[in-house]
Amino acid sequence: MFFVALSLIFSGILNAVDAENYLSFQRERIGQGIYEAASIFDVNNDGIQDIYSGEFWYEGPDFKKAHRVCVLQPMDDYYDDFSNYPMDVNGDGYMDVITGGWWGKTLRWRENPRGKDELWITHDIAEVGNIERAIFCDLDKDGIVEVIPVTKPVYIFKLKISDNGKPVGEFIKYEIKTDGAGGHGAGYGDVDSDGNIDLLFSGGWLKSPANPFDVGGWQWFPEWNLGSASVPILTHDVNKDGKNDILVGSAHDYGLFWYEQKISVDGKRTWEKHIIDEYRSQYHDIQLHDIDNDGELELVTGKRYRAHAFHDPGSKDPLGVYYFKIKNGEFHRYTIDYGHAGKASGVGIYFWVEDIDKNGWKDIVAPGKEGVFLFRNFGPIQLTKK
Amino acid sequence: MLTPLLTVFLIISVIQVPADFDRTLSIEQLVGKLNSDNPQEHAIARQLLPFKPPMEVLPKIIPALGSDNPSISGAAKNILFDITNRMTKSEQSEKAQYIKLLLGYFADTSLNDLSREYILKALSFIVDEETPPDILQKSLLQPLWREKVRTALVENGTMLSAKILCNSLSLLSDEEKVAILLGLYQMEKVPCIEEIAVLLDSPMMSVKVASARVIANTGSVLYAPKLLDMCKSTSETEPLYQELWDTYIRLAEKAALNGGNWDYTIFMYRNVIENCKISEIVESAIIGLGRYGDETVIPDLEAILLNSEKERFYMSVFYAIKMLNIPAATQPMLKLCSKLPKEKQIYLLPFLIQRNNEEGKTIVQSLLKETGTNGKKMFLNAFYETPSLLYVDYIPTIIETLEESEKQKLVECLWRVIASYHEVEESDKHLIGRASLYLFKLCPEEEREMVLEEIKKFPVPETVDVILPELGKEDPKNLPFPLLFELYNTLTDDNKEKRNQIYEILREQLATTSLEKVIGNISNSKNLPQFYSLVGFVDKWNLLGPFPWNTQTPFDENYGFPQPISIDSPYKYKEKDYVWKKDVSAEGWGYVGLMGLCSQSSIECENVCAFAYTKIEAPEDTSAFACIGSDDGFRLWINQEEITNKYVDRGMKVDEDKVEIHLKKGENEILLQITQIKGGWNFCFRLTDASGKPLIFNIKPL
Repeated sequence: MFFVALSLIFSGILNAVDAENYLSFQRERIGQGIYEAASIFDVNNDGIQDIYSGEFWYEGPDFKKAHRVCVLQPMDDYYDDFSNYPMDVNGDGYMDVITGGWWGKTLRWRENPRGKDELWITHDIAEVGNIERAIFCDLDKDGIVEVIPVTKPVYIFKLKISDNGKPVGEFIKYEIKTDGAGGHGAGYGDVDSDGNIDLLFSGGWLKSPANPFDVGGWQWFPEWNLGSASVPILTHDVNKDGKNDILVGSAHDYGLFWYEQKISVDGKRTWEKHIIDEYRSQYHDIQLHDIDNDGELELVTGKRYRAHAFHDPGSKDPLGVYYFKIKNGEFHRYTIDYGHAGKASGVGIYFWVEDIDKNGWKDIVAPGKEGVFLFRNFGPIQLTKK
Repeated sequence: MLTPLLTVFLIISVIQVPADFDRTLSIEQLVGKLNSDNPQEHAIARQLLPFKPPMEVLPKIIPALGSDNPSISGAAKNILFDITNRMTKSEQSEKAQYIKLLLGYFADTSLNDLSREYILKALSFIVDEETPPDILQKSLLQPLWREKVRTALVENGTMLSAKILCNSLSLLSDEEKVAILLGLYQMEKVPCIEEIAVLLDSPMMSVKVASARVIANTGSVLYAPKLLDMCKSTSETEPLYQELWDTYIRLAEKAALNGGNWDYTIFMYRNVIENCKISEIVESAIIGLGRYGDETVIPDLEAILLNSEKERFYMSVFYAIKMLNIPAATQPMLKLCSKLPKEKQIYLLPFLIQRNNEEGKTIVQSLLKETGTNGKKMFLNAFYETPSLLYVDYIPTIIETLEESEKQKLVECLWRVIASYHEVEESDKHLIGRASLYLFKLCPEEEREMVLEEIKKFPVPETVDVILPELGKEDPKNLPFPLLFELYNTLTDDNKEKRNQIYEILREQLATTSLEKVIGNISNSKNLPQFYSLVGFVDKWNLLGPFPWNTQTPFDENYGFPQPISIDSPYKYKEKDYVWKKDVSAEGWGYVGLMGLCSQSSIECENVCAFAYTKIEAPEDTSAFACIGSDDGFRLWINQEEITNKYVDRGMKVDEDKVEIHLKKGENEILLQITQIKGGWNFCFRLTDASGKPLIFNIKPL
C-alpha cells in the first residue's frame, strides 16, 4: 500500500523535472593545487588544450603532467593570483597569461617560454592598487581584448600592437575620469543598447563614449547598489524584451540576482531586482555559456570557497557548481556538484568554460581553495536505452 | 590438541634461524642450502638469497618451487616473492626484463602447476602497463588457469590487467563472462564500460546483473537509464530483482561520491523511492537524499513523512533530515515540522536543536511540555549530539525524568557546553553560567570543585544559591572580588538579603584592597558603572567658577566662603556674577570634570579655581574619612568648617588624600575648592569608615 502511495507522490515530483536535460559530467581533480584562478588554452602549441592554474600548467589531454610556471607566495588564505587570462602579449605565437591579485596590487603578465618546461618570466604591467580580479573585454572591437583590473580608479590597459600587427609586450594605460565606479564587482556590456560596451560596477555603470579611450567621455550613472558584487557583473536580456538586464552574484554574501531594466514612458531607466537564488553564498564569478547546446545561454556559476576565509555569511555551507537555464525570465538551477570541501567543488574566483576535449560539449575548469577540478561534459544522459 | 598459536610457536622453535648470517655465501652455496634436506639451511637460504641480484637468483630457485619438500618449496616461494618485490622498485628496463623472465617461466608447461601458481602470484605484484599482455591473455582463456589468472589480474589492479580482462569478454561464453565481470567489478578503473553496457542486454540474468555491478562501480550515470529500465521491467518475484535495485542504488551512491552529476544522483534516489519495492533499498535512497541533498529534497522527504505509515520509513526520513545540515533547509523543515503530529515531531528534535534557531526553540519547548518522558529522552539524545547553548535552559525540565545513566550523559554534555565558552558571544555568556549551575547539580561529588571554578567565571543570579553556601565556607575575604561584584549586580530586590550579604563582603574587600587594583580586575564588566556608586563616590555636585587664582597665595583668598549657599542665585564676587552649574554628575569612576567651566566662560583654563558643593544625609552621627583625588590641589569644608587644604600640581589619583571628618545626623554640607595650574582639572570624592569600607549616603537635593 505504501509503495503505491509513494509511487503516486513521486511520479508527480519526477514529472516536474525534465530529466532528459540532465547533462553527464565527470569530475577529475587536476594536480594538487588550491589556486583560485584557472583557464584552458594550448600552452605548448601542440594542438591539444591544456589547463593553466596558479603555479602550474597541466599538459593535456590527460592533465597528469604538471609543469611549474612560477612560485606564488601564499598570503594568508590566498595566493596573489586572481586571474589567469590567456593572451599572446608579446606576439611570439604562444599564449601568455594576465594575472593580478589583491595583495601584490600589481597587474602582471607571465611570459610563456614557448611551451618549454621552464619557469615563466613575470612582467609587471602596472601597479594599480588591490586587484579584486580583472575583466577582459574588447572595448574597441578591434579583436584584441582590453584588460580592466577591478580597482579604483578605473584603468583600461590596451595591448600595444606594432606596425606589422603583432603585440609588442606592452600595454597603454588609460585612467577613466570619473568620481563614481570602483567598489567590489565589475563587468561589461551594452547597457543602453547604443552599440558601445559600457562598464558596470557595484554602484552603477559607466556609459562608454564612441571612443572608449576618450577617458573624459565616460559618463557615470549611479543607478543601483549591488553591494559586494560578483566579478563579473553580466548583461543579458533575461526576459527578451530587447533591453539588457543585469546578472549579479553576491561575492561575499548570500544570493544571486538579476535586475530587470525598465524604461518608463518619460524615458527614465529603473532596475527591478529579482532573486535567482537566495540560499547559496559567495557567487564570486558568474559566466554565460551555452553549456547544454540548446542554442540559449545558461548562467554558469558556483561558490568561491572561503572567499573571505570563513568570515562571509554562508562560508561554511556546502560548495557547488551550477548552471541555470533561463526561460521567460525564470531561472532553473541545475546542480553539477554539491557538498562540502573535500567532497565537492566550487568555482573559485576565476573559472573557465570551454570544450577541452573537442567532444562538442563545453567543459568546466573549476579552481578554488578546495582544489582545481575539471568537469568533463558528456552531454545529456538519455532516458532511452543507449 | 595443539592450539594454532602453539603450533606456530613450535614450528618457529624447530626452524631456528641462526643469529649471525654469513653474507659472503655465494648464490650457488645458498641454492645448495635451499635444496638440502635441512630446514635450518633452508632458512639461511631464505634469509640471504633475497639480497642477491634477483635476475641471477630467479632461474636458480625455479626448480625448488616445485619441490615435494614443503620446506624447500615454501622457502623458494618466499624468496621469489621477496626478489619480485625488490624488482618492483627497480629501473623500468631491468624490471621489464625480470617480468619477461617471469612470464617465460609461467608459460613453461614443463614446470609443475604449483611452481606456475607461485610465479603467477609474483606476476600479480609486478605486472605494469608496459608488460606484454599475450601470455596472461592466453592463460586467461584456458579453463584450468582462468580463475587463477583472473584473481592475479584483479590483485594486480593495473589498467593493463583490466584491459586483459576486458579483452577476454568477447572470447568467452556468457556463462564464463560472469566471473570476468565480477573481476572487473573489483577493479578501480574499467576501460571497456561501453562493451559491458552492451551485456546489459544479455539474455542471461546473471550476466546482466554482473554487468550492472561493474557499471555501478564506475559511477557512470550514462548507463543509469538503461539500468533503471531493467529494474523496472523485472518482476519483484524474480530472484535477482533485489540485486538489480541494489546495483542501481550503488550506482547512485558511487555517482554521488564521484561528483559532477548531483542532479542525476538525486533523480536516481527518487526513482528508487518511487519504483523499488524493497524496503531496505528505499530506506537507503531516503537516507541518500539527506546525505547528498540540498533544500530541494525537502518536498520528497515531506511526501514520505506525511504519507508513510511505516515507522522504518519515517525514521529514515528523520535521519535524512538530520544529515541535511544546510541553512537553506531550516525554514522549509520548520514548516514541515508544523504539519506533523507531536509524536512525529519529536523525531525532529535532533534537527531542531542542531539548527540553533529561535523558531525551532519554540517548537522544542512545546514538545517538551506535551510529549512526556519520550520527548524528554529524545531531547537529551539530541542535545547530547549537538549541545546547543540555546537549549541550556530546558535542562531543568528534563532533569527529573532522567535515569542515572542519562544523567551521566547530560553531565558529559554540559562539560562540552562549558568548554565552548570561548566561541560564545559575550551576550550569551550567562547561558554558560547557567549550564555550569546545572552541571553542579548533576555532577559527581568529585567533580564539584572543578565545576565551582567554572561557575565563578560566568555568574548569573541563580549562582548565588550555589556559590554562597559552597564558597561561603571559605573566608569571604578570599572570594574573588569580580565574582562577588557580578553576583551583587545580578541580584534584584527580590533577593535583598543575599544582595546585602554580598555587599558586606564587597565592602570588606574594598576596605583592604586598592581601589585602582579592583577597578583593573573588573574593567571589562558591563556593570562597571554600578561599581562606582558601590564604592561610595559622591556623584552629584553643583559647580561654581572659574575664579582667578594665584599660585603664589593658593589658599589666602576665600572667595567669600564659607557662607550659606544658595545655588539658585548668582554668586557675586568682585563685581562679577557667577552662576552655579547644577546637578553635575560624576563620570566613570567618580570623576568630576571641571574643564567645561572654562569653555563656558571662554577663559584660559590656567591659574583658576572652582568650587564643588553638595549635601548628603547621614542617618546618624558618623566618623568618616573623606577620600579625595584631585587635579590639582584642593581645599575642603564640611558644614562650613574648613577641614584641610593641599596646594599641589598633580594629576588625579583616586583616594590620594584621606582625611577624617565628622558627619552629624541629618544634612551635611560638603564644599570643595579645586585649584588649577594648567592641563587637566578634575576631582573625585568618596567616603569610607575608619576601616576603609565605603560609606554610601543619600545626596540631598538642593
